[in-house]
Amino acid sequence: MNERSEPGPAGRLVIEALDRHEKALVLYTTQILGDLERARDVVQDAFLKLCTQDAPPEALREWLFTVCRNRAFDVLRKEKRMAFGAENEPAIRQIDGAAGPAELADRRDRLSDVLAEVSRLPERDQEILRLKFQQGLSYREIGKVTGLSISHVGVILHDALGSLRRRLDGNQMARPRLGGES
Amino acid sequence: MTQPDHDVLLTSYALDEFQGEDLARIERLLAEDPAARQRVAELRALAALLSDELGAQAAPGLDASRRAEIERAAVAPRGRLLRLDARPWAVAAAILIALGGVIGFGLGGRPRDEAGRKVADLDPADRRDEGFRARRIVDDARSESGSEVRRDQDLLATVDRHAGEAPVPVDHTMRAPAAEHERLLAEDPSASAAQGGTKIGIVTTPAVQTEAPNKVLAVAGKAKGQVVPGAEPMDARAKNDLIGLGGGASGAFGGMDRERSKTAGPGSTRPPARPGSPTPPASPGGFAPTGSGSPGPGPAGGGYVGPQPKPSGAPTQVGGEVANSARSAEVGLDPALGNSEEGLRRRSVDLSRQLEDLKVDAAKLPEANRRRYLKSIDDLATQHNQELAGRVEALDALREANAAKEELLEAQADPLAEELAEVTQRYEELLSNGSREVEKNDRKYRILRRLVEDELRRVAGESYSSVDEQPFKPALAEPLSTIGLDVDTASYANVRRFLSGGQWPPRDAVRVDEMVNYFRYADAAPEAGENLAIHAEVAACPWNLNNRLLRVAFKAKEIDRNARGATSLVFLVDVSGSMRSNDKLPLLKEGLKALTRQLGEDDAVAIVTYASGVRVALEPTFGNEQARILGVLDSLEAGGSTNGAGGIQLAYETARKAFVDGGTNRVILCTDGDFNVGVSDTEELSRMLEHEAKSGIFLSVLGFGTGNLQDGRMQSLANRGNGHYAYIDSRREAEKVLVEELVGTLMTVAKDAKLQIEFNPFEVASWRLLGYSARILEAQDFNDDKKDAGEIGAGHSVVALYEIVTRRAGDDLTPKVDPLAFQRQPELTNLGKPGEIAKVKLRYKLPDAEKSRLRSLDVIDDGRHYGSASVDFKLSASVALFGQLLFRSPHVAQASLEAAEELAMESFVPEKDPRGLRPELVELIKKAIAIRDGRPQKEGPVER
Repeated sequence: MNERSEPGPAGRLVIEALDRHEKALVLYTTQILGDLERARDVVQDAFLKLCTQDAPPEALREWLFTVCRNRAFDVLRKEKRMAFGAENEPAIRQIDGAAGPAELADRRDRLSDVLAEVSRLPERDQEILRLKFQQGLSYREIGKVTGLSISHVGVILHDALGSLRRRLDGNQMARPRLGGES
Repeated sequence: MTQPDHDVLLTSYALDEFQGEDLARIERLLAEDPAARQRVAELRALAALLSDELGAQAAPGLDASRRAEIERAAVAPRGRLLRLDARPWAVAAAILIALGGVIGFGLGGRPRDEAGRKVADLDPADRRDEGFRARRIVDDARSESGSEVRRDQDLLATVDRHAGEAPVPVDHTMRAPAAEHERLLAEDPSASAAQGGTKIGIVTTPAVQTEAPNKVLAVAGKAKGQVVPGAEPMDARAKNDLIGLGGGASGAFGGMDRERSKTAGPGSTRPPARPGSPTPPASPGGFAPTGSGSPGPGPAGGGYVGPQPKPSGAPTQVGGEVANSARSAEVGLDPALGNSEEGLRRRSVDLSRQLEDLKVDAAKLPEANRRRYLKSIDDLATQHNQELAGRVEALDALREANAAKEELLEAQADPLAEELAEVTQRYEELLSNGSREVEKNDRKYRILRRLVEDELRRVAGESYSSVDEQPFKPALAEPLSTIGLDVDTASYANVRRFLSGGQWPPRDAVRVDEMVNYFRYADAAPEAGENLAIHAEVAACPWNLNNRLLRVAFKAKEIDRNARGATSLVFLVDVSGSMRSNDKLPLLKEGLKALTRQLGEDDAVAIVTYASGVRVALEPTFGNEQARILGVLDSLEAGGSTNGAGGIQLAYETARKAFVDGGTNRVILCTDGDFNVGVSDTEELSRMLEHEAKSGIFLSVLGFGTGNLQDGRMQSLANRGNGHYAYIDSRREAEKVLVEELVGTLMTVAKDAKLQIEFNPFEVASWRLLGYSARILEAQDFNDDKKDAGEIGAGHSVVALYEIVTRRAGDDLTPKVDPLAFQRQPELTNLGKPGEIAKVKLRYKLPDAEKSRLRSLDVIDDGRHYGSASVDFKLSASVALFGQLLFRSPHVAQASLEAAEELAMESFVPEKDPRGLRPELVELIKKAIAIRDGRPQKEGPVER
């Protein structure tokens, strides 16, 4: 057939999704991987995968987040495996370097108190907080992306907010009476 | 305070997760709880803070090159999603767009098809699905049937919603000529038909460009067909329909091109309107009514109805397209599956072969270690084959289901496509499971391989018994052949089992001496005062007529069953789980019952069993208590693991308790070979067996079942215990061994029987012994009464065969080396009579004697032809030839199985063969011929 420089409807769908979600996905994936370039690879992969779907995913954003998340964790697993398998010094450093204690502390200084506190939460809680407050996903969507049940997502968010509140209590946010949380 | 789960709900509420009734309910609760309201406010403040802070974080997004690659992919026809642009999905989209609305396929789109969602993420999701879905959409759009109604309504709702919500901006620059056009239409109906035709042409342009949307053409063409011929009386609605179809589509294209980023739905493949393109006139016709959302005969409704009327061309084509896409998918899919499945099978076969090789290697290990490895190899092979067989079976079944469904799919229904996708997926899963299994077993194989190789290296240098054939030996340098005489017969039954199962017996399973001794011969019984008679016969060797064949036979005296002394038998029965199969414990029980019925009043029987534990199942019991013995036999059940070590001690202890002075005392080990004795225990066991044999308790070993791995081990055990080893593979064999022969073996008439033959080098150039490789003794052992040898029971025959190369006239017997400097060579003098080729010497002890007696026989070759040899000679010769052919001995390279069959036929003498063993021999040879020629085998044991 003749050359097609213009995308068709499905192609437009891809490009539109790219316009709309690219940055959010890169941000989200970077936070998992701790590395912009690898995050970009993952996001690119996700969009290329979208191009090979049989039909447009019904919940495109959710789909994209899920694919990015899965790929990102694949990348982490693979690196860990390679690091163990080959006892490859640089690989280990690379992982550590992704979120080394020194770098983390340094990074934290540059962030607001809130973000600093967020970054002290368990990684899973951080991720879910980000999906909620950074990406604006609903409980249901978060559940779909992370594979957790909706109620579990609810509990995690609740607990994360609770501990954030307690910690921020001593900081700049003088909150009245916050005790009694489980 | 509120409960924890209540708190969680509160958080959810604060984060706006609740809707509808739930929301109302929680708000009612909150109204009564100021503390909770306070908390919600705090949570919302925190949430807002987090949204602000986290939301302020930003990533740079993709870099230009990565983005460019995605954009390339988005227009490349390789991506499946993008292929849709040129395929039915896009067609459906185009149709729906044409129907007057922009359908939100993508962002925020509603679920259209559960099945579609399910398979959307699956990588191998086959291409069929796309055709299938496309067809469903098309069908949805026109279906009136009940099951499709809901879907229709959903679709309609979608169409309506999007039609209402997403008005596509209409270009005003295009509206002006459109208005002009409308005016023209109103003036001239026939012009509208002409315009319609033109417009349809426009719609088809992208269709042609993108190859697949033939259906757009078809649908449009249909409309055209309706309209054009009857152009004159065309009513307004028809006009609108027509315009709606084409105009909607073009309008949508136009709108998309301008407002790409804002358009919710996909556009079409059509490039932006080119200058000079006759698009504009059609546009407004489609959009004015749609935009206004007007009901009734407007394009939204009318357009929807458009494709509905029993369209003759379009649906056929759509159906054809689906069928085609299914067919092409099938073509694309099946070879791939076939290949990987084939690969799976091939790898499995490879692995099995490797395991066989490994087994061969492991067989070279010393006995104690060999057992362990062979067992693991066997286990692995069994496990592997079972797993594979199961998977391959499932694969076959699934493939059939797949094929059947595919056929049906071509013929008809959609639901089948869904099922087909599932079946295909299951098939692929199974396939990959199978591969994983093979890989897993592959790993196990490699580990085993390494272990065996290590073990082989470790024991390199240690000698292990070889079952190889004896070579020709020069009679001058090695005139003596010395062997222990024994009447083991297990090999024949074993060979029979293999051949009956359509399998060529493994080399190690074939022992010529045991095969020859399986048969009953008519050799004369010894004279009074002797327990063994010696017979010798020489005739032409049937597989090499230049050579001679010497048959030496020893016949033990018959003892009337009723005249024999009292007997004490201890059966040591393996009742481990592996004995459960019908050819093992049940067969043994049958045989033992038959034996029990033969017991006299003075005969005692005891039963010791071993499995996980060892126990005396039946204390020594006299033969008059038949019912009790039979009852215990009946109660024997197989189960548990194998722990043979303790069993044999207990059996001997029991035998000592019931020892009959001057009678026959025997332990009979019945097992399928799982006889666990540790490495260090083996020597101890051997010493014990020898010790017990001296004190008068002998050991017989009866092998059962198909695991012949321990064949050699059982044979050596039996030999240590002055015993007899037999393999039992059928009920008749059980009776033969347990009732007829055990009685013989039970009543040993000669122990430590040894044969020594001295060949006359003036008559014999060289000689070779057939079989008996495991029983060869040193020449000096012959006269050593302390050297253990074979036992011969009442009525048994033992036959030894030698192939002889005769001395030819003119053979130079003088040494080929210089005369020795320091010793004088003895003069070579022929002390034999003419034709005297050998002297046969026999030593044996009477059962209760410590000193052996020596008997001898001179063998004179009378130049007999094979034809004039005795029937017994011919039978022995044919069995020996058969055995040698089975392990492909180079010595019988010139002979064939057919020759062996012919020879065996000559030994048919019904009156000398009451049990019909000889016809069975012929049958077995025929089976071997069939296997050799690759002819299919009838399963099942040989009828005897």
